[in-house]
Amino acid sequence: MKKINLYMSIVLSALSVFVMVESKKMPAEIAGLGMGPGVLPFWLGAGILLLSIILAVESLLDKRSPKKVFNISEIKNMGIMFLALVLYAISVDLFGFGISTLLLVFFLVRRLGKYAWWKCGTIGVIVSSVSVYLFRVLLEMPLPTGIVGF
Amino acid sequence: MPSFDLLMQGFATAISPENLFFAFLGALMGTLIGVLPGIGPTSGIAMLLPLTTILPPTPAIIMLAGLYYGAMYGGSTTAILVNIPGEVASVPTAMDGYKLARKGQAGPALATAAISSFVAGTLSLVGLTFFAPTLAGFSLKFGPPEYFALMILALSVVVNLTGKSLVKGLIAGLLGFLIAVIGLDPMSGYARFSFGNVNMMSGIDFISVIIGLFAVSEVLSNVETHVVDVYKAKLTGLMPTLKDLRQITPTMLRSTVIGFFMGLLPGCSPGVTAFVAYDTEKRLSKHPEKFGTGILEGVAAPEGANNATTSGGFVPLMAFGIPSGPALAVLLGGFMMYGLQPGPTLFEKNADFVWAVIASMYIGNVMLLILNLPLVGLWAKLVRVPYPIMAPMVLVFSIIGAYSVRGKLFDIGVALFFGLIGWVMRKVELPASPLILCLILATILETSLKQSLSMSTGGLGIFFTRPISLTLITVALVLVAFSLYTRFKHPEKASEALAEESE
Repeated sequence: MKKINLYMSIVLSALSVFVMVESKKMPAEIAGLGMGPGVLPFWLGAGILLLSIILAVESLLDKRSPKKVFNISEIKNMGIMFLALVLYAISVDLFGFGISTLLLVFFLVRRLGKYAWWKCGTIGVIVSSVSVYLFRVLLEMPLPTGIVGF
Repeated sequence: MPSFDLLMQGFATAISPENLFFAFLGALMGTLIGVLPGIGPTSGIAMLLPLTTILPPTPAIIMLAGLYYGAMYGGSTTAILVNIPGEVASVPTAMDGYKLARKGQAGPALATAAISSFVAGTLSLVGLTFFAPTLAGFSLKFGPPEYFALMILALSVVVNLTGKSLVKGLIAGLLGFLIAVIGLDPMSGYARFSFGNVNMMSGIDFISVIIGLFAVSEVLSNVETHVVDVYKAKLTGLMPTLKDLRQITPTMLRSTVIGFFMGLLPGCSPGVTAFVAYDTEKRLSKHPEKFGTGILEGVAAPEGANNATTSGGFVPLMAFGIPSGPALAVLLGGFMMYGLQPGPTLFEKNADFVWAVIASMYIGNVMLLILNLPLVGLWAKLVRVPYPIMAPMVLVFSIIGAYSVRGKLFDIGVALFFGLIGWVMRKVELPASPLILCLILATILETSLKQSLSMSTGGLGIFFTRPISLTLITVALVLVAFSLYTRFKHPEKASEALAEESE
């Protein structure tokens, strides 16, 4: 955790400096309205910077043995799942909500539960059909239909 | 005529078969809408508003009011069972409710939510019935400086939500503020941190952030180790015991008071009061360290408060036509659609209508309880669905939830982005709750700060010269000081926490 806290404080410091620089480009005062749009973000950036420095000092003074927070296999498993979700978000617009949901559920059930292909397919069809019926048909939500139309 | 007689007349109207049916329909549909993640009371009322035009005003508003408090209740179900708080008010419920569900106590958690919602909802209705005109006058004393002070009071909760590290909790809170400033400045309309992107200009919707930080990151955290996390033990005791009920009664009563009085103030949403009630219970508890680990008080407090706020919000709505939050704003649209102008004259000109709606809310609360307690067993069984089947469903519903708010694919991207951020935050032990609280408070805090400074031509003195704002700020400072004192008073507990952290 010690190293992670240090890395985190570096990332947050960079973010806060960026926020402060960008805020300075915004008006500090607007005639008739008083406080401009850049004031609050600037002070938010300053606050995060100050807290990041405290976090860095805390982690440098921490005498406890470091704990491993991330490991490769965890990141790999999470990464595959996240990638599947990103592809899903893209395909919803492209191919349509129903078909994309079917494919996503099929993939996830297969990967997580190692069920037979037909079981994964059945669950995919049920989840996508029920959600399309419930949200698009009953609740009239304009879910994307894409080129497939489902 | 005294309020009691008027209420009795209201009951006479409300118990007509037609009105009873629409109260039931509203409560039922509200519960179902609440259970569907992401579709909160606001979109529920908005979706059904056009459909009610075929009805006369009284049954239509009775149905929409039923839908509103039904949805407020229903939101807790998904928060408890699958850690998807469909609305901000259910975020604190998820903190303890989900832990209870994972321990096999989904039944008592859901029943506690139902009972607490019923008790708080009904008691607040008593307040609404007898004190509406007097209390409505109180809310008019709140100008921008008082709102700013109130938001500062709500922010004092953050200190208690920080978890093991105060610094990390405060960082999370400031990050929440930072997310909130993305988009157009509420006063000047200047685009901040939008980088020319039209979607960014309309700001980051907090529902997508909540769905990402809670639901998506939960699934990402569970799949990383291929753990098939399903509760296999027998589900025992679906209802809380008498001892449990005795234990949560003071919590329910306190949360009712907090929720109702804060609900009188426009802009004070059920989300804020749920957090404040949760924090108050944690402060008053003999075992504050158990909050967040799965205890019934942690469910009773936010659920009671958010339902009390729901009823409290009807006071300024009916008395002045001021909606306390987005859902009531849509309901106000419903009033207007029927030519009913909420305001001081509503109680005189349309007394029959007002009192029938209030009476139907009593009936609706009883209906909600009758409707939901038998369903507890059914919902509780959801925790036994194998995780490989549950996880994809949670993700699909989360994504629909994010999309449903504004109908933008951009919001799906936001939910996924915050899912990843939430996963990292869990790893590095940055708590999500302070971020959410600050995100929801930020806009009203910034607006009231800027308005106050305009009123005082730039000086901060305005917050300390007005009695209500001075009192609120003093209370906030005392609470923060008290929290910090208790935090550092027990260094042995702090070192235990640190040791745990280093394991």
